[in-house]
Amino acid sequence: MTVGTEMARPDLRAAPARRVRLSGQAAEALDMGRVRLAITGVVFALAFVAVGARLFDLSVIAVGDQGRPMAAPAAYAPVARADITDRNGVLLATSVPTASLFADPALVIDADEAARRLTAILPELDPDWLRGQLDTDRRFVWIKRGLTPTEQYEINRLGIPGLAFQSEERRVYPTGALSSHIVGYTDVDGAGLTGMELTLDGQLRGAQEPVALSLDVRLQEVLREEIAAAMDEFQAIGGAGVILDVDSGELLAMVSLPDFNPYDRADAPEEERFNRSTLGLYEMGSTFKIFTTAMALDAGVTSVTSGYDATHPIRVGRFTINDFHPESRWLTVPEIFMYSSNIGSVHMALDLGTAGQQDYLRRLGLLDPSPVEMPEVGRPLVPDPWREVNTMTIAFGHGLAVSPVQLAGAVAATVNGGIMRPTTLLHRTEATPPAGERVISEATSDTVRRLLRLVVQNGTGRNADAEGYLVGGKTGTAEKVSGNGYARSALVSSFVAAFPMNDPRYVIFVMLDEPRGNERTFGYATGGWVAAPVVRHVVERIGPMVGLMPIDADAPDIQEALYVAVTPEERRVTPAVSP
Amino acid sequence: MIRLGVLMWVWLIAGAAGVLFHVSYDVTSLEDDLSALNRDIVREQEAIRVLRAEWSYLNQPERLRNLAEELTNLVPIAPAQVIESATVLPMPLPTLAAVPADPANPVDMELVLARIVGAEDPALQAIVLPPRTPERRPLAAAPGAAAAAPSTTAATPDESVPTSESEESLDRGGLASLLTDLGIEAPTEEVAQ
Repeated sequence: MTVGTEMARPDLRAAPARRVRLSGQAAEALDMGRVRLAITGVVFALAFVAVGARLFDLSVIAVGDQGRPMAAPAAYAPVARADITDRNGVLLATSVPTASLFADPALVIDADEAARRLTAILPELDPDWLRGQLDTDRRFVWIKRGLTPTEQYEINRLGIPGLAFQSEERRVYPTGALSSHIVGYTDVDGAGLTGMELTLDGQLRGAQEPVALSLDVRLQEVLREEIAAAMDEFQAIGGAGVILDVDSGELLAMVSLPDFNPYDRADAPEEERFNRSTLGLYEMGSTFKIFTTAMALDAGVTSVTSGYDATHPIRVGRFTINDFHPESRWLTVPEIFMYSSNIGSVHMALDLGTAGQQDYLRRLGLLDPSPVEMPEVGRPLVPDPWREVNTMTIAFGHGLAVSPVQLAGAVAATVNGGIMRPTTLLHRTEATPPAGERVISEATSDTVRRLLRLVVQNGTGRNADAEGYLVGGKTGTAEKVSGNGYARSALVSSFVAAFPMNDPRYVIFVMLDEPRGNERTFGYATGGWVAAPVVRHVVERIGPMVGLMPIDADAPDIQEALYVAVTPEERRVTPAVSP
Repeated sequence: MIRLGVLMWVWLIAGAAGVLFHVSYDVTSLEDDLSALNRDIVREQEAIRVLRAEWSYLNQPERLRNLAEELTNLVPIAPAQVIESATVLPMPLPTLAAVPADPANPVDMELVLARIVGAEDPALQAIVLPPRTPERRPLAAAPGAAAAAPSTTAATPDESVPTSESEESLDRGGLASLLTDLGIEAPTEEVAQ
């Protein structure tokens, strides 16, 4: 088109003068030029009509489609690290905006004056150090990170040139020491260093959605308070406790005492930062008889109506295995369990054999580290080589050291119908619990429940009987290893319980490290005297919290569900209730 | 005829230009509103985070138990007290006060409230924003003070925008803006005193 116009132009300009002479070839060229011009005009006109039509379409016809109002995206304050909450949404760790103070020393006019006025507001800073920082040649020095809002305000008021604030996030742990072992803490840059802060580091970083742990701070507080009270009463050097949901494997509470304030972690001794519940490994003593009895019953090498001769101590090499409360007679399996007879348990384990014992213990998760999502998880101390004497000692809980959280998980599997599920610290939101692995049969689990209830009703665990909650449990008292042998006076006293025993919902484990007996316990520091009362107090307090209605222990159906004939005579006179 | 047509076009163009400028100014003003609202939203969200942390801190079970023991006569429920329904009990509900109401010696509710909100708790003060009281807002007094201070630079009215303390605490635009702030704030402060 452009070419056409160019060609036509000289002719047009010349036209008035040369009109007469136009003919032939020239006239043809002129016509062609005009036609081209017309075509160009039409094309442009069409284009403008199209634009106009589209404008009309957009502004008049299609106004409903195209002109709908659109909301501008609202701003939001992103957090650098997501929150950690408990199962009910109570904050355990959160990030709050904070300001950090830095200086550009080149712009600080009077370092002495600035240091003097700053230390008046931040008394924890060393004046000499601060003066040195403000008097360097560098262009950037941190003065203090994570100021409180009031400190920031006061410093801003000073008006010292060369100081400035950097907006940062500070990790705040509103529950403090209550969950410090589990939640852990981060470094000043917000990277997880311990606990779930480290485990979930990738998930928390840059995320906005809070992560819910399986913990319940109310239960955590009850457990911590009761264990602390018992530690105080019995002058124990430490304590640990676990509350586990029997069916889902969720940890509702996990306590390790002494604990530490997450803000004072730099000053906390190693002793306080050590998590006894997951990292601590202990020979648990008689609580292992739960497993010995369960596996012997499940494998069919003994039955709840048979028994063993516990008259004589067992001698193996330089060891003599004796009973703590010797009955020195023939004992039935329920009696062995009730009186916590070492001799009877050893006989049961020998009947099962080493391979069988190892197999059951492995499936109960007692030979491998706990699957709980903590960075600090202890690997069980398993005897190597595993001789017959180890089989005998492990039958009553010596020679194999496991962590409290492992023990609670294994007990949960023996009372919940025989299914082992991985212990977890993350809140399980799905309705159905994970499938798990069957360890013992439903019938064996039922018998173990009756036996555990028997211990609390008539045996060594009477101090744990919380009225209305049908507690069943087993005491454990182990001597601590010192040097080559066991220390008679240094005990690890524990109690593991489940409740309500007719349909267990929770497993509670309480352990005290080196308790000393007092007048109230007649000098005893065994599990039945120091740890069982803690379990009773905890159950009495958390029962109403978790919404369990008290159960009448004398109701006929409850009696039948938990009855076990202890002696052969009892079996003859009482109508047999099949276990 | 041609003049009338031209005149009409000129009027149309002028009108269109006027409408265009008007819309353009409206958009600019709305954008200012939007960014102001967004700043407010961010500030409120940060305040919510702080308040949530404060709420969690104040609701620590141990703290609540201590307060309940100190300020009420309520005790934990014993299993024997749990019944299927409260309607079967004819008893009156327990009162909340730790001591029976004594007309001669009324309970100081201000003190009770101060304990409940943790007003004296140093650990809590490390988390929360400082109280928003009038005397803690020196910049709020700036208009009168700035007028009385001839040494203040001409930039003062524009740059001393943060008029409340919370805005100021959020204004962390780095060294340069802080210096500006300080340079303005310091004389204002002296005059105000």
